[in-house]
Amino acid sequence: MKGLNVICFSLLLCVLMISSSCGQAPNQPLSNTNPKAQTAVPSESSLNAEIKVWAANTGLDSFKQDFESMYPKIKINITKFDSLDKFNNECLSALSSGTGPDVLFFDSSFFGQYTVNGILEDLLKDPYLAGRYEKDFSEDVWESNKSADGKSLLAMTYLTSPYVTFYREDIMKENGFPSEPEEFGKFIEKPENLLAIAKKIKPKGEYIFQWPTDLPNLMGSSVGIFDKNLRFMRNTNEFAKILDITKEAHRAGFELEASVWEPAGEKAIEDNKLVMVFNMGSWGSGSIQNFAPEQSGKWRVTKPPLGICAWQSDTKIAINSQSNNKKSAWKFVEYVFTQQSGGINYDMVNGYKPSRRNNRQMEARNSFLGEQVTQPLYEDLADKMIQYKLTPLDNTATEIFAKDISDATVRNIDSKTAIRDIADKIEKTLEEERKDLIEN
Amino acid sequence: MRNLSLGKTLKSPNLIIGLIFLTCMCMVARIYKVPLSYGVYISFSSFFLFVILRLYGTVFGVVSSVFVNIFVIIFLHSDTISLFVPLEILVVGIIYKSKTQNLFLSEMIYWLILGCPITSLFFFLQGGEFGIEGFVAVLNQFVIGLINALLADMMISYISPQRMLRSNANYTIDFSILLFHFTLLSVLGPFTIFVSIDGLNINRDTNISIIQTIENKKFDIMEQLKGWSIIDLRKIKVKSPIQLNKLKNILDKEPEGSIVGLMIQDNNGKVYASNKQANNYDISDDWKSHGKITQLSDDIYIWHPELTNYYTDETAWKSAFFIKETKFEDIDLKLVIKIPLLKYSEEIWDGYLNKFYIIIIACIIATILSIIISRFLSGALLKLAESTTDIPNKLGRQEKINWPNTSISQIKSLILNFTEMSNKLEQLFSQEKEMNNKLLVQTDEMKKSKEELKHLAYYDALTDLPNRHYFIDYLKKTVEEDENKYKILAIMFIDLNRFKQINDSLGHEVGDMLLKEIARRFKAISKNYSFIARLGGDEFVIILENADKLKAAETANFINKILADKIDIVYNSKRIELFTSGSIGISMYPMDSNDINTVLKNADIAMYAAKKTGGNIYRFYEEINKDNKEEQIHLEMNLKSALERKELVLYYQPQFNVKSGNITAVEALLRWNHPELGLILPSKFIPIANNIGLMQEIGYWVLKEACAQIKLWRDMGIINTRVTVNLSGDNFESQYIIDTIQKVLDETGVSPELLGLDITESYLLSNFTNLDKTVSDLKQLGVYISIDDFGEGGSSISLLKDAPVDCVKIDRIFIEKLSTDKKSELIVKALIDMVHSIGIKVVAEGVETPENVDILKNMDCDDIHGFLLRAPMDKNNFENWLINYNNQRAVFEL
Repeated sequence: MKGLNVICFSLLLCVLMISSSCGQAPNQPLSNTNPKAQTAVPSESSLNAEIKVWAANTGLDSFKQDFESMYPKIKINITKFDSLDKFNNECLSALSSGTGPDVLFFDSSFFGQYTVNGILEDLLKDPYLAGRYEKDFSEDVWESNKSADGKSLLAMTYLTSPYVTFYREDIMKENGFPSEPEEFGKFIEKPENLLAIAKKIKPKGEYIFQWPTDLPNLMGSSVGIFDKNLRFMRNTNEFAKILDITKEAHRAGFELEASVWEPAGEKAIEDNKLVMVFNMGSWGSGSIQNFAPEQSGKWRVTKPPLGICAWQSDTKIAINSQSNNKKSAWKFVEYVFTQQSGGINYDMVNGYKPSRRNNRQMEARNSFLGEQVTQPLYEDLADKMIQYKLTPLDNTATEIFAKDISDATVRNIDSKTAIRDIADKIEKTLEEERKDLIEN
Repeated sequence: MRNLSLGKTLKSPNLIIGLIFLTCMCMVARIYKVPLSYGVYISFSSFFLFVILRLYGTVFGVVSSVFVNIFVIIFLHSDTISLFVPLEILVVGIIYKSKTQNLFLSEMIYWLILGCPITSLFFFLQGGEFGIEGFVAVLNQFVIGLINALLADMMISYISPQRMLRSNANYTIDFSILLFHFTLLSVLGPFTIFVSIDGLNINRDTNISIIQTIENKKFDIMEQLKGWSIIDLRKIKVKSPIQLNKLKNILDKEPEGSIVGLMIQDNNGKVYASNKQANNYDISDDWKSHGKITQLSDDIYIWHPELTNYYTDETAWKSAFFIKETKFEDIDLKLVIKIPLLKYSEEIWDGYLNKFYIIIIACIIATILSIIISRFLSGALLKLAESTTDIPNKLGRQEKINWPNTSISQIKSLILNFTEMSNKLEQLFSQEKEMNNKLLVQTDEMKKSKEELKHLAYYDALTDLPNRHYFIDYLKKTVEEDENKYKILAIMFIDLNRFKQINDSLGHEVGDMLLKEIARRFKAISKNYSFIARLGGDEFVIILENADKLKAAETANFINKILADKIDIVYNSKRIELFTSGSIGISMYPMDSNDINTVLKNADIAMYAAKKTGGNIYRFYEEINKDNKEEQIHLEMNLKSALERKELVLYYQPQFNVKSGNITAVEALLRWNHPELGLILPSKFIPIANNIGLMQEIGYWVLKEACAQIKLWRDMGIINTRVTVNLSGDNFESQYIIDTIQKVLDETGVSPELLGLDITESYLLSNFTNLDKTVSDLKQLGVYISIDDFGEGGSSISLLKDAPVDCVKIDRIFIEKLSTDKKSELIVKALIDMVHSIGIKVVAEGVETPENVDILKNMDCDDIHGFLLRAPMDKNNFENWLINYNNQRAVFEL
């Protein structure tokens, strides 16, 4: 009996050990701190697809018709917005809530905030394989559409625009300055000439500067804000020199102190007080025309002052990661940026190089600008400008830059010091964000 | 305490149902534990297993626990520590059975020696960190085991399911166990209640504290985010680093050492920002999709992983969190605040640990105390129980009883009472023993008497031979055993000749001595024969088995030879020589008859015939039967005893006055009511009676009977006349006839004139000389004398001259032809006239026709009787007829 008890006891121990080892080990962490992988893209239906397109700009209707005739099974549903701000707000709202259209026509000024992975589709991947178009875009344009970490291509540049100078040809002529666009552009390459114009017309209540930040911003746009390591790029002597000119102009009171985008600025144009604008892109003639249609023929366009070639903006086409029609959406995107409709530039330059210097466009005349043939200027400037990469840090950096430049101008701080301080400040302020972007 | 196991094999359906029920209850209790707080719980699962262990044995207990374990593992993925339950049951069962007979003690020993080390060891083997929760878990199991063991012990002891399952079980409760149970119950009961209540309070207080912390933190964060626009919040969703960084800075403001985890998440579980603490917490972002969630309010939850696949519930609770979700308006974002329970639970478990330590120590102390006290108390009771065990036998054997000593007053009082009682009992037993002895003696004597009685019943007292009763039994038995009638029996009735003479002449004592000698001789030869018995008087019987006639004859000769030898007896110092011989009657069974009684009767007849022949011979019944003298002999044999057996009866026939029709006399007529032959008329047996000398006796009887009857009827008032009796010659010849008649009259109280005696003419004629005085004396006595059958003898007229008779009865031979024969008529007329002329009455006998009645009437005959008027009747019928006759006064046309 005793022996039997021992055997039973031993058997039972064995059973317990086996059964407990067969069970799950306790204290297994149940949570998974790794970020979740992107959810699988739902497979698209081979049946008819409707592609929703949001665009801030008009002018896509011809594309829609042409595309739909080419792809009868794909319907394009375009939603236009009254303004860029409204478009941006709606985009943000939609993209932040995981909804929104299939295709978005971004203005570059609002693109930077979406350069973090997961919002827009990486066009380098299947089914897009946009990498094959890399050679058809200039490197800076191509890179400007990449994600903050540079690994994903989040959009395709459709149309891009350099900064230009719009000026009143008649007033310049009246004041004895060169008025032909090419001559005037050359004239205003020298800072003293620029200041001379400002000085000459100021007694008449005419201005060529809006705010102290005009020239620094222009300069800044020529180089961008952050390099690929997200370091602030504007801490240079050039910027110090520009600040000097700005301070001089400010001291002389050469600033209108109103922006062309404000009602006062618009009125200034209308009232012939603001006679030169160099903080617009090549598309700006339309805006000026809107402000002062009666001034048609009096304005001309030339290159930006001080010989600066700067990129003002572009229109980027991106595909929403939440789209259920990605394949069809890409077809449309592809169709548009390759200008398969024959292309209308809207006073801008195609991002897609094979579509640049379109003959029809190159010979077109701008009636508001006195029948000036403007496209060659734009194409040249586009070739020379550098389309820098946008980041989610741009807005903050730009705000600090603008504010501190104004501050330095007003307080007449040493330009180099001021520029250096601005750079430090921006870097310090955005240090962590920079790290997050770099490390993630 | 007795092992209350119901047996190793389940045969009763009730037992099987009971086992299945208990196993199912164990399963249910295993699934539905009673949670206290943070993994500490009470489960009654092992209670049912302990009940099974107690009722069905260790094997069934282990099997049930394994079965439950398998079920729970497969379907519920239970905590691993519960897998040790079968081991617990096995070890507890072994300790219980072999050592303690106490479940609670066995359970305590198991946990102290084996349970705690093994379960702790396995904890290490599982790779877990054996922190405070490990201790709590192990001790939790310990305490649960103790509670369940105690409850099971108590239930078995006091509710006795054994009685329900086996109705014929005898059951008692041990006092020491009772004391033990209630001592432990008084410790464990309040503790359990206290821990339960305390657990609930701790739960509540902890929840309140944590919720307060959560709410404060939520308020703090939301205040900081109050200034954020919807665009900023949206930018969070598009992962704008600026907003995310700002958010992170807000969330990371938690001080060092804070346990509050903060996250900003959307409804899909995507985390946008979180603080260090939240990052370190081991809980999935989609915690709602798994684990166990208890909702405390609309947006506050307690989450812990499923209590499965953990070693203990406490281990699972270690990973518990309090979680609050606060949704932002207008955007799919929420602030998630997580506070791990660990910090709080450690304090709580610490508290529980202390309580468990205290209770275990208290149980150990209580156990020890209870054992000591119960030994102290029950020791005395046990000794008392020992002393009083088998006390009746001890007292019966007059053993000295050692009564225990104790200082407990109640038990001492009990002992004193027992002592007194046992002393009294001892006295009673002694008395009883004495009485028993006396009774034994009496019983022996009774037994002896019985034997003697039996002997007396079956043996003849004088000769010590088997008696008639034994003989009959023996014979019946022998015949019954001989179903196929193969046996031949020779029944030999032996009658000693001249025994009566010897008895009468030499006295009964000599006669007895003679019989004894005969019996001795018979006994001497008895082994040669089957059976020898004395039937009574001087009659013996021998049964020869398997003897033929030749053998029987030889035997009879031999017996006669033995009997013929002289017998020497010394009586009164005198030597007497006696000679006798035997009359042997032999009947063969089954040749003479298959029926025993008939065989006996035949042997008797044969014996009688032998005796009649002269004695010292033997006769076979077969020979007698051939001579057809059987009936005669039969009557002769039976007539003697007929009187004794009251077979002789008187019939009564009325005598009427021919003119008035009044009853003038009643004639008593003797009959023999033979049991086999029926009613025998006197003509048949009176000669035999005469031959064998019975007439005196019979006559006396007839007289007495007739007189007594007439007296009775006279006293009843139904008759006022005489009774007439026919006497035989022997009666008249007796010298004592007058005395006899006087005696009868005196004895019966009858007047002489109420007695009539009929003497036959023929007898009177042939014996008148001798009878003359007798008749005169009778007449002087006052008795009515009649000459019966007058005219039959022919010369009866002279009788009329000399015999002083009162009446003459004319013989029937004259009467029966009265109406048809003129001569008869003339003769009868002449007789009547003649008799009348000398003053004697005339009765006509045998009147059987109405014509004769008329003629007799005309002839002036006095009385008549005959069958026409009334046939003879027995006394009852005559009496009834008499009463009717008196009532109706039958008209008889004369």
